Amino acid sequence: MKEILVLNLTRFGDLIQTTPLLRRLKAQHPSARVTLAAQQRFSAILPLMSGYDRCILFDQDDVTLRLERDELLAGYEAVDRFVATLEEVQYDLVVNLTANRMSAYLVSLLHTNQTAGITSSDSGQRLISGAWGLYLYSFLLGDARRYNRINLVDIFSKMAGVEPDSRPVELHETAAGRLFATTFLDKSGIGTDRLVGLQLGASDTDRCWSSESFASLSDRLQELDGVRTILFGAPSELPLAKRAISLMKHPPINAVGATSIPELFSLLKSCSLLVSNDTGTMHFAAAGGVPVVMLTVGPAAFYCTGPYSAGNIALQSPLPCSPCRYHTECNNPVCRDLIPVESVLDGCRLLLGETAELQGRDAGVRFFRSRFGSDGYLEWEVIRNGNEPLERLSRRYSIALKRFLDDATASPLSTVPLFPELVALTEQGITLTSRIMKAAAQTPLPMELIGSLGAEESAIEAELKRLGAVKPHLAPLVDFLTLMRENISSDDLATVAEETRQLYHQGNLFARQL
Amino acid sequence: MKLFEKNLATLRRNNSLLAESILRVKPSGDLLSLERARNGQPSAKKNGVLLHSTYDPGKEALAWLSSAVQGEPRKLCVLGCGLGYHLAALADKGYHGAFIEPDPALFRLALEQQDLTALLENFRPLVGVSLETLRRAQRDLLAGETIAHPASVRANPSYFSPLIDYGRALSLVRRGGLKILLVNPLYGGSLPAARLSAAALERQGHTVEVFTSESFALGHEYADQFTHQAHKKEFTSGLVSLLGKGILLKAQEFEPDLVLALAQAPLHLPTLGRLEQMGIPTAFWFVEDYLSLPYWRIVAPNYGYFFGIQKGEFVSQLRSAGVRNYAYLPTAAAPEIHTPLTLTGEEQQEFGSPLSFIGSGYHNRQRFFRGLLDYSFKIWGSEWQLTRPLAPCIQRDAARVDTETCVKIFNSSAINLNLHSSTYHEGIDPAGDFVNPRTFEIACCSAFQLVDRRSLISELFADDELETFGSMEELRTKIDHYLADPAGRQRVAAKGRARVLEEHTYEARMEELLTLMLCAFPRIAERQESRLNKEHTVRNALESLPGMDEVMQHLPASGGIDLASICDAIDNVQGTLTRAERIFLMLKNMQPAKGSTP
Repeated sequence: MKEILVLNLTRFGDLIQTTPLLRRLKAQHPSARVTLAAQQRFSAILPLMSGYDRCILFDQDDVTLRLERDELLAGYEAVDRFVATLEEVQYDLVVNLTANRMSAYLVSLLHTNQTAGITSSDSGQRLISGAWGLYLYSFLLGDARRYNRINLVDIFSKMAGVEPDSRPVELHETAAGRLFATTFLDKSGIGTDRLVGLQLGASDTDRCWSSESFASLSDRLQELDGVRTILFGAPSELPLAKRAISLMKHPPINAVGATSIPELFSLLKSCSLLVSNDTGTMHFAAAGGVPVVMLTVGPAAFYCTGPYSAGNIALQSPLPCSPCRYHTECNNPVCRDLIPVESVLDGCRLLLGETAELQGRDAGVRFFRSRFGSDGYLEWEVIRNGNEPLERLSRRYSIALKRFLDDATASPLSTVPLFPELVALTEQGITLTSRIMKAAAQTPLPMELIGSLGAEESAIEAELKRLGAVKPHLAPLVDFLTLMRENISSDDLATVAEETRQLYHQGNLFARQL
Repeated sequence: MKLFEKNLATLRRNNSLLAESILRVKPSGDLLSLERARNGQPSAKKNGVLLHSTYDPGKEALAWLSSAVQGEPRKLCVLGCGLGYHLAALADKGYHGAFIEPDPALFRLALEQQDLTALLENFRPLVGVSLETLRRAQRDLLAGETIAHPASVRANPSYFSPLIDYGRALSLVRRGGLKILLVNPLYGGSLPAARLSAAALERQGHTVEVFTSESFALGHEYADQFTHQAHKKEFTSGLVSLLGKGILLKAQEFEPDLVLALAQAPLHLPTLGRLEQMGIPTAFWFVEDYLSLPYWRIVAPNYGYFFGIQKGEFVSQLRSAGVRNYAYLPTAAAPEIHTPLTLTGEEQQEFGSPLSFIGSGYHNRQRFFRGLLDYSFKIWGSEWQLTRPLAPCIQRDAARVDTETCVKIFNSSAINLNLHSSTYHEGIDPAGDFVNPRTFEIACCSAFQLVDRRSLISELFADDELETFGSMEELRTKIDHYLADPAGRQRVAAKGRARVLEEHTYEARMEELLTLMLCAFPRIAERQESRLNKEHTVRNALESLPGMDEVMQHLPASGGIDLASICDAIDNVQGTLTRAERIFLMLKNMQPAKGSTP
């Protein structure tokens, strides 16, 4: 490969999660030029990243502002310029890590031999390239992600055809950042104390542990021998920090809104531990080798987007709805209250080396710890209160998925499928679509026969969807097949029948792997 | 006098009515005098203003012509006739069209002093016509190219200045692209007028957002469930207040150039005040009898412009109430609905009759129609008492008749009777002024009608376009006459329809309303012009983009072009998306969510 484009028009955290992919792409294709396309607004992190040869920035905020001001042509011209820059090159591979329709249209405009992620057909239909791409949209971004045990970082890599390498996300400290951190901490009189960072906010309030809890945790931490707390956050989180500080007995060091991106990274690197909601700061810590205690509140799911490094702890409430679906408007978000300060402190003490194992009162909170598995993927092991049936099923899904997605024809690990009803339904689908294919080859077309076979096939599809709805553990597989169906873009009956048969065939192989 | 007779003969050939009226005009008014230029040519002074050069009026006209009009001979509307020098110069160059002169005495003086025969062949005279009639009857002329005779304008600024402004505004209105928030009535008979107005505005290329107040009609009716009047009032007031809030929210989202409300729209004073603060001009079309619904007194002064279907005393009362802008705007017909039909034999059997009437059973109709029972007479509509003596005439047990059926009845009846309603007269209201929508609707169907004589009817229809009656005796005579004269009925009906199509459609009414709004509120025109210029730029830019040809064909020919309309057009194009189309789809997916908290 000579030219690879990685399109990531998302936020700081997502860009950090792209760093293993960039590293692995470089390792696998050392002579290829890797271009990273990112948003101007988040470009401050780019000097800390490596693995790309050039970067093309898109000022999406400016376009949005122009549209807001009704300056349509100016908006068009800005997008046109960005697209034109990307169009200058014939790519061997475009990896689209931006999960929206805008990026799908963008990718469809580019000259590329191979695409990973979403794109759109010539008529504008959304298409998802590759089995790992389908996996991303069905298991991770869909509602069935509670069964997913593969981290987004590893999925990104697999989408692009590179293997996980057991190494964390990575950023490089700058000299200016280091100088800032040293000066800042000197002024704070930190001395030889261990620093524990606290990240109070998150992109959504429904992902936030309460500021009262953070205040209490900070006090409890500062009451430990030689521990100081430091608050991190964006300028917009100053009111939140102010409120938390007002509730604390022992004032923390306050770095909220006081740092640039390189300065934040250097300051974080000086910490012994970070306690954080599901945030970009958490990924900075992982990249800096700082262990994280992640509080999974609301829709946050550590399996999917937790800190990508070994040795982190994630805490999750024992509620059956946790993590909730995206865009859930919860009227009673008790999941944040069911993670008590005591439990978080317990996790902190473990990571600070104060204890060799969890020692505090068991409040029912689930504890997990990250590590790299023998296959190079990040894993989370249960260290307290795991939901064993769910973990067992998810593990089985995970093993089967990795085998199936890498080689659909690989022989199943077990001769007894876990979901025989799926195997039977997909077999019916294969038989039926084979008959449709035969009918479609006849001249003239036997319209009546095709109509009745089509109706039977629709009934199988409906039954699959019904199974997915009434048996949530089947939902990811059903979602996967639904996305495959949505990927069929041909108008030709024979082609549609062949692709639908493929869909059932893949579904059958997948179901047999389980 | 030979000149006058010669001119009059030409005029009589082209416009006999005007010729006759000129004969009755005094040769000169108090403020008009004949003058002589130094070269001996006649000149005139009007209101103290010399209309032509005191040296050489003919030469002056030629100089004016070369500076005021360039290009190929074409149709023009000339404001002011003076003694005709400038018109003669124009006619000599081959220009044609019409001229407008408010003073018949001045026109007569011109006919006496100059040979205008060539001029009268090229230019149609519109002399002594009121501004209101010009607005209604000369829409195309005023929207076209207009040039003013400067001295005439100086001599009669109160007539010509508004006309010049009106012409400019009218041509802007005809470009389309205005954003109008139309507030429908909460209840009552003006709802069809509101819907037809919205449809007409959209056909004219404006963007209309309708606040469908009628969705809350059940809530309004619920007020009757309260026993105490005070509770009923409080409930209704709360509902109107809620709807007012809804209208403001709509206005905030839609950002209209103006708000148009029809009678019974739930716009109360605080809402009107807030709209004024937001800088949005408001208009109210009160398509009701001011004597029957007196609430106009409270709301009228708070609208930017008030339109009604009556004149005379109503105008005085509006002025006393503090109304700043008022215009007479009669009701109208919708040719797309009120149209000539060919009915099946079955339909003709059901709906046809020698004499029919459609309408509610008001007191005066219940009384008056007793005098027609010896005719084969069908009465359609609601609120009729199904008891003698009219019972045999009442159709469908006095059920409401929908518009589609009305049109069939109009088309299948030999004579459509049209009696304006009254709750206390025994028959015809002798002081009745306004003309009801049915008059226009029947005429628009090219159906024949006999309508009670109203004081405002003669300026809307000529005698040969509509037959009227003033008494039962006259009505019966005309019924007998026209039942025996199908050709006569057809002749009148055809002329009536032509007049409606020319002047009395909802398109015409909305055009006049908008033009007056633009005259009264220049900021509407500024907003529209800026938007249209922007649209022009966008359209040009789109046209220059490769791969947008098909999309351009699916975009509205006039009116707003925005990202949504472009993407809608893209959706309508089949086949492979072009590069430009994909970029617009990208933009659509970057668009921020619309709407903010008030």
